[in-house]
Order: sequence, then structure tokens, then C-alpha cells
Amino acid sequence: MHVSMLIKFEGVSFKYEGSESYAIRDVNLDIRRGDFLLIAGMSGSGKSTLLRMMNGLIPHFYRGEMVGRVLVDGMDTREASVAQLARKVGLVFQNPDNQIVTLRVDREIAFGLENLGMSREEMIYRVNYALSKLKIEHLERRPTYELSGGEKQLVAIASIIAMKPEILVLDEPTSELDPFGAARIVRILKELNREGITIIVAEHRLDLFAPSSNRLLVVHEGRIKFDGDPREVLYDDPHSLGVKSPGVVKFAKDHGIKERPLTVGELLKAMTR
Amino acid sequence: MFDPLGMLEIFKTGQLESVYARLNPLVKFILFIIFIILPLISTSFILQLFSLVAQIPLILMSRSGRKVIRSLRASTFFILILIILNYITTNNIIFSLSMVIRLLVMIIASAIFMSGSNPSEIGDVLSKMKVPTSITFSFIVALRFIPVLADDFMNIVASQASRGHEVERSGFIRRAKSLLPLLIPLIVIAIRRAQQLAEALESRCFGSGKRTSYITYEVKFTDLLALTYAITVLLIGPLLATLPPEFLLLPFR
Amino acid sequence: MIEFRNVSFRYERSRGFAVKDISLEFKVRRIYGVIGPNGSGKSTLLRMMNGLIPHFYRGEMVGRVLVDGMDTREASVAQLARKVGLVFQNPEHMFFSESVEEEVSFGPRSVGMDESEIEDSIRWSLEEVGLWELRGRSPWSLSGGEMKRLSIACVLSMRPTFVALDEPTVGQDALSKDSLINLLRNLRDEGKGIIVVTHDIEWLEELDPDEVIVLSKGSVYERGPPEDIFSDVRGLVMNQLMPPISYLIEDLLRRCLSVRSAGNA
Repeated sequence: MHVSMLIKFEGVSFKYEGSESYAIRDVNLDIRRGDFLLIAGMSGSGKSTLLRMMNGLIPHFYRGEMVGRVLVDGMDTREASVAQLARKVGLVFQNPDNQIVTLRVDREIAFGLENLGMSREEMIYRVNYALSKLKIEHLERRPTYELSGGEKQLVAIASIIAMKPEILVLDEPTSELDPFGAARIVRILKELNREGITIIVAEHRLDLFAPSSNRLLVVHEGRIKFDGDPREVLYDDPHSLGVKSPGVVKFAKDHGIKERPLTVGELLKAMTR
Repeated sequence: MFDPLGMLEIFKTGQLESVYARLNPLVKFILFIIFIILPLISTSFILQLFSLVAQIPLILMSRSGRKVIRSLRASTFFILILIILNYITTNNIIFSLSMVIRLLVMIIASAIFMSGSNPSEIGDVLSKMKVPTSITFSFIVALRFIPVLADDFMNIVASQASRGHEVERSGFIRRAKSLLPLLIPLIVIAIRRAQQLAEALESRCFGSGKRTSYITYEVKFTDLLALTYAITVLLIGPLLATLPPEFLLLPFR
Repeated sequence: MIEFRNVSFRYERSRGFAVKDISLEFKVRRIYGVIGPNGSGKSTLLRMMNGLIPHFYRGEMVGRVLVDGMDTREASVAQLARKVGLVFQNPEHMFFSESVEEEVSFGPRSVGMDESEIEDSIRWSLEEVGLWELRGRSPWSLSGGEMKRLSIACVLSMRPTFVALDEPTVGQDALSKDSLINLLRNLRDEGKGIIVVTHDIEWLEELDPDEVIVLSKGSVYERGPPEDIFSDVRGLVMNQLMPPISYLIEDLLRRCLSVRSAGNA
């Protein structure tokens, strides 16, 4: 079966203008359609830089020196504009307050669609789609300044989902959410992934995301140190790379459990055998 | 009597439910423009008085009666000063009164428009009138971020207060210096927000081509009624302007 | 000692009370962890410790908060800052100086510390957080973890007896969180009282505080040693809190095994 390469990094290095060191170095990465990719690493490790290279913000919005090339569904990000790439790659940023630009939730979700010159019927359909996907129908007419931190994060994600990108990239989407809210986001992403959308998430909260992802990338000092099955790396002591093991992994290791569970459910199964 | 903040109160955009608020925003804007132009057609006292009276239905429709009265009360001092100054320079009491009433008409027209429309509507009207997207958009974004930056400022004040900081009351230079620990973080945070916002906008294809509109407005019966009223007023006004002010005293003779 | 005596507080524009009839004591040489769902009064509690409430946040206050005997309604925030150092979530709400060293000197100068003390104080607080080497750098050139440590130093330089931190782990990576734990333990061992408000329960478990206080809807739901609080899985979940994974697993295992044996009987 032919598995298409959706995003390809070929020997990519990047140095921000005015910086002395490279933010990322010699990155070779093939992201397949349908992947649920989790990217972990310390702050300043290069995670955010990687994400911004996927929709063209680097090199169009951020100046600097770029080596190598990034292909998104065949398009070279050095040639295609951010607007062109943003139709395929939806990027949700860390701070929802700095993404919300309108005064009402439904207008906010429609904002990106208006930029794309969509017809009104299609926009109405998509706004409803995004609201129901994130289960925030009750927020439709809410003024944006009345939203809580968690609600803002949901609205920011809804605004990008409405654009129906093939690839959804999120930079720490659960920072404002409590564990229950964060778990909800993971469920929604898993659902979207099952529907065929490629998901790429940069996160610290591995305990929540690792079980749902099929691939884990660990970035350290600008290089990719590990790329593969989440189970393998998490049981391999990533602490030296600044990555904290999920509680389940620690428990399993402490109690000498041979199977490598990632969730409490898997752990219990292994223990009650 | 001297209350500058009270004077400004009428301009606050409110979410008051009223017949006026439900009008098509373009119609609201046309009404607003007409009542700005009307008193400017001539200096006739009768015209000014007519303009003022003709706004009363609008005041009622937008339920801003209380607001108007409150701000008029707050501006009494200012109004009296204007009348007196005008009289001193022109020695014509009727003319002075006309000028002041003209000013009031224009202020009331603005107040009705501002408080009867929400900012998003105003933005929609501006873009419909082909004002460049960058301007309308800046307007909306500014309104969107005012509460955010206000919050940031509150947090900054609390943080610095917890380090023993107090704003100096005496001496201009000392006062300015003591504001630095409050203003510098605010500016840094505002710039950072602006930068992240720009990134997010790029990533949502802003400015990449022709924009369409999610929100549309209908033209209803009340809109046509309001427009008819406005046009009628605009036609009657100049006619009345040709009458001499003594005309008003006729019923008393 | 920080004492709350039957304290209630309602913010000016609010109808309900943010904290209701709270009586608590905080002593030195201890680490206290305060947890609770959103709206439980955690932030309000902190703000009452250094006088921000009632001096900066207006509202209705009942009861008394005493810091080493000083009533917070009478003492000024500047006076209280020398006893209770409050560290907020976002370090960038503080920074305005050209260098780290200058930034750290702001607190002591504002509260009127003696010139002779200030220099020592700056050095001590920067060394305590491990930023002495970076004292010439601009605050904004620091990494996220370094900025967080600088914000703590800015408060330490006023030599308070208590240090209270509001959500110190938000946005921090694993290494930064580890160094925070070491720092707080050192400060406690040096004789300070530490109060941490956090929703990061795994981090709190690792910090191993002397006491955990659970707030719910403005009142104290429960307080005690971490083992007791974290084991009350039911109580925590009812208050929309997650226990640390290890406690959750043990609780679930216990239930599984008891179900098993009940099944066998």
C-alpha cells in the first residue's frame, strides 16, 4: 500500500536573523498522511521552530538563514506563500488570547473562512461543524472577552478546524486547561485523526498525549534525538533529554512490569493478569 | 456641574435592546450622517431647533433618553460657557443659542449611533463603505484587545505593588518615574501580543485575497420607515430655514 | 506566622464570597501546597497574604489576616512585602530594568531597605536561584526557566519570611520544574515558609510538601499530610481534581482486587 509523504524535511537547518546559533540542525523528517505525531523537548529545543516551518511562517514571516528544504504535499515552503500553505496546514498557537481577533465566537470561527473568500452558505455550515466538533455550540454568540482561558483555547482550535486543513499542527494546546479539559482535547484530536486528518502536537503533557499518538519525536538542542514508537522512547529514559516520563511509565518501571503500558487501563490489565 | 467623565458617558457603546438597535447598521449610519449635515445647512435658529426636536423620536427609539439627560446635566457648565462666549463675540443671543444647539444636535446624533450599535456592526458598516480593510480591522482589533491589555495592566500593578512599588503623588518628574515600572512591562507585553497576533493572522490567510462576509444584514420595514423619516426631515429642514426666527413668536402675538 | 482568622472576602463587583470563613495558619520551615478547582479561592487566598486584598482589590472583608502579628488591613502592601513575598505567574509582568541585577534591586529600594543591606541582599538572592553569573544580562534575554527564577529572586531580595507562589510551573519544562523543587526545599530548610498554589498535582507530589490544603468553593475542604490528601481519591475527584497517578492506580487496584475477591466468595 502506498503511504504518501505529506510533509518532508530534507536536511533542514535554520538560524533566526540576529541569532548566533542554529535553532534546528540537520533535520530529516517524513510525516505520513494519517500520522498522529507528538513532539517533545525542553523549551528552546527547537520545537516551535519546527512547527513554524510547516506552514511557511519560516521563512516568510521570520527572517534568517535556511538550509535544505521543506515540502508540504509537494509544495516547497520557500516558494509557496503562507496563505497557500495555510490552506493545507492549520496552525494553532500556544496563547489563545493572541489569536482571537473578533468580538464574538461565531465571527471568530468564520474569520479564516472570510479570508479564504468562501460563500456564506459554506461558512455557516463550517461554523456549525466546528462548534459541534468541539462541543461548544452554547458559546456561539458569546462575546470573546467573556470567555475563560479554557474556552478561548477551544475557540482558537475551532477557528482552525473550520478551515478544514489536511494537517492540524498545535503548539501546546492544553496549557490553559485543567486535566479534564486537556483530556477532552485529546479525544477530539483522536477523532479528527480517525477521520483522516494528520495531527502534529508539540506538548509537555506526555501522559495525556502519548497513548493516542503513533509516533513520538524528541527534539534536543535543535536536533531530532528520537523518532519512533512512543512506547520505546518513554521506556528508554528520556529524562536526560529533558522529557518527563508519564506517571504510568514510572509506576510500571518501579514495579517491574514487563509490558509497557502507557495508560492506567493498560497498566491495570498488565497487573491483574 | 463640571463633570468631564459624565459628559463622555453617552458615547459608550451599549448592548441595549431597542428598536433602533435592531435597525440595519447602514441605516443607522445614514441617520447619523443626516443629523450631522442637517444643522449645518444654515445658521437659522429655527433649523437648529427643528433638528433637535426631530431627533426626539430617535432618542425614544434607542431608549437613550436617560443617558442624554444625564450627559446634558453633566455638560451644563460647558454649555453655559459656550453661550456666554458666543454672545460676547457676536452680541447676538439668537445666534449664540443656534450655535450651541447645533453642537448639541451633533453630539446627540453621535451618541445615539455609538450607543445603539455594537463595535462589530460599526466595523461591518465601515467595510461596506469601502474603507480599507486595514483600518476597519485595526478598529476591531483595538476594541478586542482593550480588555486584554487592561487585565495585563492590573496584573502588572499588582506584581509591582507586591515589590513595594507605589505611584508617587507629588512632583511631575517623580510621578513620571514611578510610572515606568508599570508602563515598560505593559509596552513589552503589548508588543509581544501584537507579534503573536500577526503570526496568527498570516496563518489564517489574512490579506491574501478578496474577503467575503459571514454576517449579512437584511433591510426590513422599520429600516425603510427610518430612511423615509430621515429624508423627510432633510427636505423640511431647509424649507424651515428660510423662515425668520420671529416666526416662532407668532403664536404669542 | 501567617494567620487567617475567620476570613471571608467578596470582590466589589461580585455577588458571592470568594473565600468563606477561612481559618488557617502558615508557619516557617514548612512547605504548604494549596490545590483546588477554578474559582475555589486559591488566588484570593494568596492576595490576602501580602495585603493586595484589601488595599488594591476592593471589596467586603470579614475577619482578620495577621502576618507576624501585623493586621493586613492596617499595614501597607510595602510593609507586608518585607514579610511575605508574592510571586505571580507571569514573570514578564515585573521586568523593566536593563539588567538582572538592577531588576532585583528594585524591591529592596522600594520597600526602603538600608543601602548597606541591599548589595548583600541582591547577591544572596541571585546566588540562591543560580542567576548570579547572568546578573549583567537583560531580563528579556533569559530563557523561560531563568525568567521564572529571576521573578523569585526579585521577591527574595526583600528578605521575606514567607514566599508565596501562584502557579509557578505553568509553561515550564521538566528541568525547570525540577530546579524549582530544589529551590523551594532549600528555602524551607533555610527557615522560610513556602506556600504554593498549583494545579500540577504530579509536580506537587514530587515536591512533597509538609501539608496540602484543598480549597473548594471558598472554604477549606480538607487539609493534612500529602499521603492522606492524595489517598482520598474520591474526595479529590468530587472536587474536580485529579490525584497523582500513583495514588489513582493504587486506589483502582484496591477496588479491582476487592471486586475480584468478592466475585470469588
